[in-house]
Amino acid sequence: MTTEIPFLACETAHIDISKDPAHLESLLLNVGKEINAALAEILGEGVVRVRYQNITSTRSINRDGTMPIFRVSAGYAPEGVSMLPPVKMTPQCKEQLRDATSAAA
Amino acid sequence: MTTIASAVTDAPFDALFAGWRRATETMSAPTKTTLTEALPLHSEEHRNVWTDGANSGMETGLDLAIRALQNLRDELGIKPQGEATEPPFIVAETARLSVGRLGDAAILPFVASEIQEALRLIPGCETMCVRFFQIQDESKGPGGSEIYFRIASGRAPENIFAVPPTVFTQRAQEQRNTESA
Repeated sequence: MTTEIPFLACETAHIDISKDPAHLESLLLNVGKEINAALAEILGEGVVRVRYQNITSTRSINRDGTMPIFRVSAGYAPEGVSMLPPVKMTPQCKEQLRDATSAAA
Repeated sequence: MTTIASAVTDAPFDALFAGWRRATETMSAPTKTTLTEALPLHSEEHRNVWTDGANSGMETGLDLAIRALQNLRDELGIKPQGEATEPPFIVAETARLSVGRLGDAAILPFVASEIQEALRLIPGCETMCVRFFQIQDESKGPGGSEIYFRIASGRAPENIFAVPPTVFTQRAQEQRNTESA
């Protein structure tokens, strides 16, 4: 992976889609694609990317066992950006993590 | 830089109302939803003036809201948002995405705000804005709506809906071409 700018992934807060998982997941995927296209228009192809990731986890905060998240990456963002650990988190993401940790303790 | 919102909300109440009436005299006013999206107001009193004005002649359309704001801005001698920014100011508009049910779009303002927060943590993207806009579309059944986002680069103003988009995603461009054909 060639990077001009150091690679950076940022994780957003988890978004509850348990009310209608299939429909809302599809909506979020489309949102991610369109926002990527808009970012590419502004910043250039592959500089910053938004990725949607819907994962099932034992530390889930949602009733259906999923933790839908977006990750935004800067630098040369590879297709598999959601597989890379985030380097930064949004404030709300940090709060969620803190709440989840204290609830588990 | 004086922003439209701060200048308008700082204006005397009577002048604001008179400006609104004049700005909308020759056009139907935008909806309450469009107004509150287009012009975040600081006080309930001012909000009521704008929504009362909107309710006096309901017609949807962000363009109408923008025209009304532009007229009012000109009257008050306010410099438009987005001018004189470094680097050049760009607003990108995504395609409209059909939501189907209005309630399903409830998560999207949160999504937009989180993506904006994330972008602001990335070097070079600190001043970017992501805004979510919702259009009600009766043809999609009760509560049906379509959504789109606007993303700004440069020194992004709080209200990027007051600034016309300068670039479009491919799908947004296709939608525009289809509609104008």
